[in-house]
Amino acid sequence: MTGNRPFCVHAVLQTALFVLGSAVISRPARGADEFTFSGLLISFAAAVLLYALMLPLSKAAVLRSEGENTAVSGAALCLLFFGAALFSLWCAADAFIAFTRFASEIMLPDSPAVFSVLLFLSAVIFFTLKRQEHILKFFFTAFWGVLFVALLFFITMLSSFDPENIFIYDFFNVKGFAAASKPYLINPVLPLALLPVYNSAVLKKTRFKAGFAGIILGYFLLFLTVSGSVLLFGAPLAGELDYPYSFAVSTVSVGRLFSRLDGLSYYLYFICALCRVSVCLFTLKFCLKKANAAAKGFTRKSKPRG
Amino acid sequence: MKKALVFALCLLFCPLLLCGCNMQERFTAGTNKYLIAALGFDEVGDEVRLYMEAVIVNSDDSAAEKKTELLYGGGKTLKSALGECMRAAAEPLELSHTAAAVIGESISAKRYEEICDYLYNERQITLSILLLSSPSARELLSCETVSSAAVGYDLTGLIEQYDGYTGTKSKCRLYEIENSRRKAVNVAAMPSVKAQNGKFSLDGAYVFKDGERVLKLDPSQVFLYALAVDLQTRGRANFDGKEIEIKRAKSDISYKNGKFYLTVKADTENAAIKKEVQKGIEALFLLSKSADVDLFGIGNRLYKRDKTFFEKISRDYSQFYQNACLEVRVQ
Repeated sequence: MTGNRPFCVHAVLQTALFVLGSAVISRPARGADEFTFSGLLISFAAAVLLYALMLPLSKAAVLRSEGENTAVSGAALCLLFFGAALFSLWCAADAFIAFTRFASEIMLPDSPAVFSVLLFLSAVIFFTLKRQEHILKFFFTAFWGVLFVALLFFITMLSSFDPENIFIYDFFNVKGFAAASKPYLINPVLPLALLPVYNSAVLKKTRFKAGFAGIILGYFLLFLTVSGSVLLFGAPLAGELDYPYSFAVSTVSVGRLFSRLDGLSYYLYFICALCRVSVCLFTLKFCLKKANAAAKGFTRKSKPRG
Repeated sequence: MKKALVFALCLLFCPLLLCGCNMQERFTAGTNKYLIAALGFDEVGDEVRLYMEAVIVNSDDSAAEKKTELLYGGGKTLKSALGECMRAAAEPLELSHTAAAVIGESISAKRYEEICDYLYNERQITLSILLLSSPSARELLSCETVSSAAVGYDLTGLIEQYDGYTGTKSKCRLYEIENSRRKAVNVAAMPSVKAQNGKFSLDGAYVFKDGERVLKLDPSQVFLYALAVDLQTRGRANFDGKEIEIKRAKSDISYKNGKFYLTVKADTENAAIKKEVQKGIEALFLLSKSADVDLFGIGNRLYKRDKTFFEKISRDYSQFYQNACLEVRVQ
């Protein structure tokens, strides 16, 4: 853990949880059809591509921000980091809203929504105040529970799956493939643009291999959850549901005694949303600091001499 | 590391405890819990009659014997019937453990749609509840219980036992019915359960087309139907009074040059049975034509393969189905 590659495995597992984020709650999205699986695969390629593109960009931006800059590059850096900060805020808010809405509607339907918001907010604040090393260790441990829950539900639902739900007969329907990949491109692909920045800030390295391994692992888990609802319900019905995976796992019963096991899946949603929000908030803080530093340097250089 | 592990475990149980609190909150209002095991729907005139089989659990004394009560509510709409049921219980109703919904034979197509919409939109009810057909929902839910506290739970046991023994999958869970409602051709089959002298038994299946009951299948026809639509995987089945064993079954429908081909691969020791199965499926196809119901899901198959072609024929799908030719091959 503290050898040549400190927190390497931690970064992999955290990336996997980050990929799941709030996507595990809401995917497949509305309007899903038989192409939804292909959409997921296309988005995987897009995720890898985006990550590969963002790696050198974030590395260069962070390095430039630490050195001397001209007025122009300082202004550009300031804008870049400010844009990244805004994007982090949007991603954090999106995951926060998705989870709290789920919690108030499904987990605590009889309690006021503000109760769920306060509960999750307190967890988020607690995590934001902790050192990132501790956060990495926490998600390293929490990941195994997520893996267990995802595998458990996939295996228990296996006998009810209908493979016909994912058969594609029309392979040349480009529109269908494009439309199916769109929701996945918004979530989880877009937020992945922040990960290289986060890794540069926390691990002081871009973690090329760890990032890719994390994306693969995260997509594997997302595949398990999305396939759970699509193979069970069929894509049109799964896409109509507000929380497809949650409704899919509510159908699982083991014998007559364990008829409602949905409670276990709440752990998965909570950990994944928490990971997404905490990483985004840390990146927001980091980007704002960098933007501020770049702005200061820029204003100093812009002042007329004399 | 240890601290992180403890913290992760605490977080694992946190959501469960929170849900527990939620349940507690729902139940502490009174001493009795009304766990709804089954819902039943009948229709008389323009009034819907809703029956709820409730298992009354005493929250102060879990060891006490559990009583069942059949709650009743009637009204012009399902909402008003539901309100009446709630008033009859005088305690909050817990629908999250509902196992079955019984659709009475008197239910009209319009009411069927209303019932399906209610079951689908009621978040407490899981999408895995069974939808069963019965001559009278009230009569069925008034039967004696056999192996559990309520008829609703016995019914799921009956279907599971039947599926396990015969290998005939009953596609009658709410999500399967909802799935068929979203398909190009809305046809679903529900097991039919009849009640007689306080006891209940399986009595074939009912086929619904757009919510309307159009065809009744006897147990032998259910077996043939299951073979044709790939719901029969293995097991024993009663066919024309004889019990036959199928080790493995697989079927597929293809469409070529204006003709449908149904290929059934049934691994059975008795070769003569294959011929009879072929004849039986052909007869079932003719029966489905006379009832004007696409029993084998031909339309949905066509829609998936060629939407443009299906849209062309969908304007007069009934005529297309009447003219369709099916060649059955049992191997």
